[in-house]
Amino acid sequence: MKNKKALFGVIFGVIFIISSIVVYTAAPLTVHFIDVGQGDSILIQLPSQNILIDGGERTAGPIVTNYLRKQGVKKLDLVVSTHPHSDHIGGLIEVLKAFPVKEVIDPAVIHTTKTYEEYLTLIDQKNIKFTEGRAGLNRNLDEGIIMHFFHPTTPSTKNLNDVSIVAKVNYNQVSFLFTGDAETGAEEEMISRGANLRSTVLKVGHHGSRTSTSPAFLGVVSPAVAVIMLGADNKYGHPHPETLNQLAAAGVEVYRTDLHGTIIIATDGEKIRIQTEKKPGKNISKNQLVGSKNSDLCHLPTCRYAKTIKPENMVWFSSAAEAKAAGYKPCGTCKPQ
Amino acid sequence: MKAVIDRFEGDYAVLLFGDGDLKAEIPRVLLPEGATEGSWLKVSFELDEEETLRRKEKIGSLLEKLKNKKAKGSR
Repeated sequence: MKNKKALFGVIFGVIFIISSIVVYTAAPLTVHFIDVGQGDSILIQLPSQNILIDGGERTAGPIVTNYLRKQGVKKLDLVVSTHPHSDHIGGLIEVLKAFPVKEVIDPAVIHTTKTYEEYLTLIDQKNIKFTEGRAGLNRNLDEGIIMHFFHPTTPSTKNLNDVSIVAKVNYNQVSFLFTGDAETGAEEEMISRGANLRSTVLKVGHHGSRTSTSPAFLGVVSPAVAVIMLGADNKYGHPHPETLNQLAAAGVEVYRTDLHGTIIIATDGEKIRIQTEKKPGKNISKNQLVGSKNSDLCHLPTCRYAKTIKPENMVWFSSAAEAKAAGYKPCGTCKPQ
Repeated sequence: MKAVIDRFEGDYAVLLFGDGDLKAEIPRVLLPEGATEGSWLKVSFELDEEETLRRKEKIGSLLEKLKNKKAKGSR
């Protein structure tokens, strides 16, 4: 009898320890900003649901499906295609083939590429529920988490970036704003509609292009953390220095898939925990070093001295050699190489 | 050969060929007027044998001229 009691105690104790480990490690909401090079692909994991926003380029399809499998994804409850450009929907073709999908939310505007046609044809063939993504739409998810859709209202095909679906995922004190490639036109529209844009984490619009992230928008969103999704090899100059300057001036902590690889942000609704695949600083990429017009030192953007530089005085460099050629010496505190 | 303009990125147009698996960035200035996102383009490249031959001859004679030139000032 005594032994039985002790055994019960041990078992109970073990269960208690295991359950507390699970509670500690498995945050109810985890957002994976998957490194797909130049393009977007974001996995949102909830206790019993998986949501994917965009799938990167067509060539990134296998990267996304492999990543989802590694995370134990067997089905997708929702796929959001922010807009029909190939660096957002291309990889979804592979995803739609690989996983059962319950619903696709898409801006549903005409784009004439074969990529978009193939993606739509798959949705049709697999009889997946297709919903027009419009401002005002909501989806109630696990744990009382809500996904609100803020954009578009009446999309025009003049600029497909501005038809981007913008959505916010809200969990108690913590929220994520996903902006696709929305540009300042869309940003202004949302501000004027009074959308509740304020968020803890901002997925920066259009890969850090100067076409997006206006000071007004950044002011309203007021993020603590920003994630820029882009490839190091892009020809478009992303991220543009103007955007980096805005973010630095607003004191936002910036993570970039070209530097950090895949970025994972987990939350219990109060705090956030950020994990990155790579530690940046070793392989210096585009616009990674910053100096001031008023000094001859260059810094990593994370350096405490970099944060004291006024945005109008910021000068960005792609490499230590480039900074040196311009007459800038490496800072002794952050030691950029 | 046909291609479609998927999007514009700054001074470039991103063109998709074939099933969309072949991508090329083309400077916007090379595109015909009125080209927009979603415009399809007829793309063709034609070998210009005559021009190739003309350039070969021109460069060849320029090289010959330089090789036969008596070096002046660099003794």
